[in-house]
Amino acid sequence: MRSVVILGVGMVKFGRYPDVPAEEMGQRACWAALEDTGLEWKDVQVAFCGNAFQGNTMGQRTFNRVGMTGIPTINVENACASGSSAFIMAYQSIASGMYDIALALGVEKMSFKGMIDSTRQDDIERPLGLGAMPTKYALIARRYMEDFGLTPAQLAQVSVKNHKNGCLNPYSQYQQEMTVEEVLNSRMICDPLTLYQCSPTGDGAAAAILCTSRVARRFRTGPFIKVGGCAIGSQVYVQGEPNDISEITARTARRAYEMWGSGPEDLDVVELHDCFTIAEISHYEGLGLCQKGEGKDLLISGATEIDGKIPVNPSGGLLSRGHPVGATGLAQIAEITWQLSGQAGKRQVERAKAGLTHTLGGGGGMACAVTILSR
Amino acid sequence: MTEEKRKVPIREGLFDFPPSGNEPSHLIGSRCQKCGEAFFPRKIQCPKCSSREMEEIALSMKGKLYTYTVVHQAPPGYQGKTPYIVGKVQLPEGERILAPIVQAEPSELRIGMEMELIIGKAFDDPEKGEVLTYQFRP
Repeated sequence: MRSVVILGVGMVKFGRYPDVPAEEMGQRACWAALEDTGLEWKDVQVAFCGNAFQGNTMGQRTFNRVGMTGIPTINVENACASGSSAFIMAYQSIASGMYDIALALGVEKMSFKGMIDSTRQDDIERPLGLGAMPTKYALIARRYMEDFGLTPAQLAQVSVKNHKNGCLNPYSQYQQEMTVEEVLNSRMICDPLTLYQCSPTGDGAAAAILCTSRVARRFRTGPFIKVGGCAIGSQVYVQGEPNDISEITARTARRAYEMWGSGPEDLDVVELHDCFTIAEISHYEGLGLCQKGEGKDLLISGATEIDGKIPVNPSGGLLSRGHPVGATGLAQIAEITWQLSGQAGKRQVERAKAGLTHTLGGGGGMACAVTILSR
Repeated sequence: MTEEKRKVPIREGLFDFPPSGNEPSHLIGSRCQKCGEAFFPRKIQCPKCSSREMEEIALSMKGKLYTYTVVHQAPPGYQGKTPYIVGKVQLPEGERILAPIVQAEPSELRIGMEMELIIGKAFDDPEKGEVLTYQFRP
């Protein structure tokens, strides 16, 4: 396998753009990535488009606007992990030797539907109100509270931290600090999850351009951000738990760490899938940042703040930066790229040399994507 | 005189309906003949070991509350009243059943408490009649 680097990234501020077509948002993310690299569109040899709800040939509809160069275009759907899966496909296309320059785009327009209705439900789950995303995560939260003594205030602290970080990120959908009380007193969605513990719906797009280290030097001087490891996983059978978010996360992360040849102790910054507050605490454990049951202690210790030992979601995460599902994975890649190249502005993590992204897609089936980038 | 409403299961093959004699309705599941794992609803292939030798079984009527939530914001398509309780009940066979929790106040629910299967009304459908589903109660 050839060594692959990120030549550049770009994104559109997440938010609500009722008058902008999804294709144009994707197009603008491509412009931003191209500008970051100095490449022209005709240099891109293959393109992958991650999206969950935009219909057939979203990639072609978007890339044709940028220039009809006839390149192979592949659309990638893996629910919330669509963008990160598109990135890993782009990585593979270069690592394998098939192409030298690839673009991965994540794009989604969610204004038309709520997060609560974003997942596929069957003829029983839907009329009985059993299967919505907040319900699934509330069931996980309640059980976690019972098993490990997590309190509602500790749960709310995840949202407080990520909203604080979001204030420092110009690309974040929300730039608004909130207190534990405000989070707890917001409208109850599925007990114990209140409104501000659920990621918002929104629109957005983000893109990355990847190439081999050798090709990268043709366009600019280093240092370059390398793809150190990556993995995509689906479920294994776990009795009684067809959708076990911790098992799939732990197993996928383990494969990415193995490929990287290093472990969580060598990470400096993490962007993980905090679709709901409980998810962040669970994923601390799944990604090996702490032991099982110690996620809340890691949070409360302050270790995952921007100036902590292992900053998590400096971008604001899904809770504050927003979660236009197919775009999220590429927004995470962009954030870690900026962090590792010292371009993260007010939210810059000091001396960050290696970072991880984690996205988890669910909707009946599950997809988990983990990527490790290093300087 | 009001005509008695027709009762229909929410989906065929999930539980005995109509119930036979005085027997209560069981959930209908499958057991893998190779690895022994039990599932609900029925499956024609085992997701654990991929065997296609599956036997139909009647699942236990009682289980333990594994987790629950009170849903205040119902998703689109939901046909009942809000708020309502959703829970997962772990059966002795190992499978966990996601189902409405009824005849209970949230304050009396405790993880680990014993729950009992009942077949009850899910909602009224103007065309089909009274739609029945499986539920659990303390």
